[in-house]
Amino acid sequence: MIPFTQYGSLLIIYIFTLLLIPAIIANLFQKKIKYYGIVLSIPMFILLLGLDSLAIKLFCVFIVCELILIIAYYYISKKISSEFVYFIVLGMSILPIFLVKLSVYTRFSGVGFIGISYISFRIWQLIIDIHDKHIEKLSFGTIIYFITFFPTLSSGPIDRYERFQQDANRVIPRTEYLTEYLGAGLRKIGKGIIYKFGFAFLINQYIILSLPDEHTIKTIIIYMYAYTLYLFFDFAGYSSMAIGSGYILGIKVMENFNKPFLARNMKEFWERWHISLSTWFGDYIYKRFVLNNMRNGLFKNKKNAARCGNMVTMLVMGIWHGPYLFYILYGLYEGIALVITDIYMKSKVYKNFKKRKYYNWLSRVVCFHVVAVGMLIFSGYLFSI
Amino acid sequence: MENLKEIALKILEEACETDEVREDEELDLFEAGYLDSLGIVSVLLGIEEKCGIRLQPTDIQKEDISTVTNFVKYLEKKVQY
Repeated sequence: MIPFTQYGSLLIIYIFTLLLIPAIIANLFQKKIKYYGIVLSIPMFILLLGLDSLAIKLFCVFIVCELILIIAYYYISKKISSEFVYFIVLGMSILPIFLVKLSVYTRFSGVGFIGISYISFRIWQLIIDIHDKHIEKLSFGTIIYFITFFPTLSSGPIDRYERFQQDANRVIPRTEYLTEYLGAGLRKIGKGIIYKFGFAFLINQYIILSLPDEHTIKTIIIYMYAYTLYLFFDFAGYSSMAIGSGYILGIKVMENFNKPFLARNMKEFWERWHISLSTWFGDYIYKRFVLNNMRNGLFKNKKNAARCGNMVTMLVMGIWHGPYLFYILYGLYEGIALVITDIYMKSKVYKNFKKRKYYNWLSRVVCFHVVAVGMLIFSGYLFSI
Repeated sequence: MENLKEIALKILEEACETDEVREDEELDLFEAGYLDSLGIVSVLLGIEEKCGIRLQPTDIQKEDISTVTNFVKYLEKKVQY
């Protein structure tokens, strides 16, 4: 099993932060930090996946195979422009994660390794960008570094290759590094620690774990609020630590959360919660679904295309979490919530409501509850009765 | 041949479903609520329809259509190729 959970304890974070010191020294000597980053990756993978475990073997095989696929596709796409090849390559790269996710229903349950879901996004993004002719130059080392960037290995944030390689290949001037990367990075790690080991821990320890096993209306309601807040602090805390570590390594990893509970409607919520995931889904699934289906005439009406796009995108997001009924229901719920939000935001009720003084706080309270019900479904609590 | 700026304005008008976008060429269309993900798709379809250029969602950045001015600059670049 996994010897260490990434950012799982204060000791691990302390050791991890110490291991980042050579990155600071590298910048001091005005060298590209990425060389140290790549070198540090290897002990980090061993720490996260084990030295002789099934996980690390699968990880290596997976990375090598996907890399061969990416590089092969890059050279093929320079010679032939074929949609068929594109779909085959994409299909082949999706196959491993598809099998791993389904393996829970077979006797091979233990197959897989941490981070496979998130690494896959980076791989697919590369393949799609190669197809769209966005990648001018393929640098072998930077590609591996991008796909396996260890601060964001287990749960993201999900970065984009072009942006990442610009950061990685840059030598950052010392004062800029000190304030914008090191200082900011340490602050983010600190914030992450407070969120995850402070708030999330307290909510889990004193509320969630003290709930009785029996599910009643009362426990469901308490669990709903507690879990929603716990999930936020835990995930935002993890993200903050991952982003902060990325900064110290010279990479301005994108933010994952932006005060999500201030959202006044579900559309705004998804611009503030798990931002790297929702923008990835927005760019690579939603927009392409709507664009392609309006081009091929499946939808004549923009509104219908958009609403269908929302349903499809949210369903995919739900299922991506795992092959369980409650994830699918969660996807359906979020899709329907977005469609209703779209109808609401085009209505006269909304246009009048927006002008009222109490619009902001009332919308936020309602939105929070819509979110909380979704998180309740997502938690699977209702299915473990 | 219609001037490019006029084409740009027409595309934005259709995508935002209002001609108010013509008023202020420096207005951030996303912040003002005129454009969102669907709006970006509409702009891409508009470019395809009016300029004959087929683009993908990742061919356009948010900054390229955040204001009328930026969009005109973006179109000029794209049409040149």
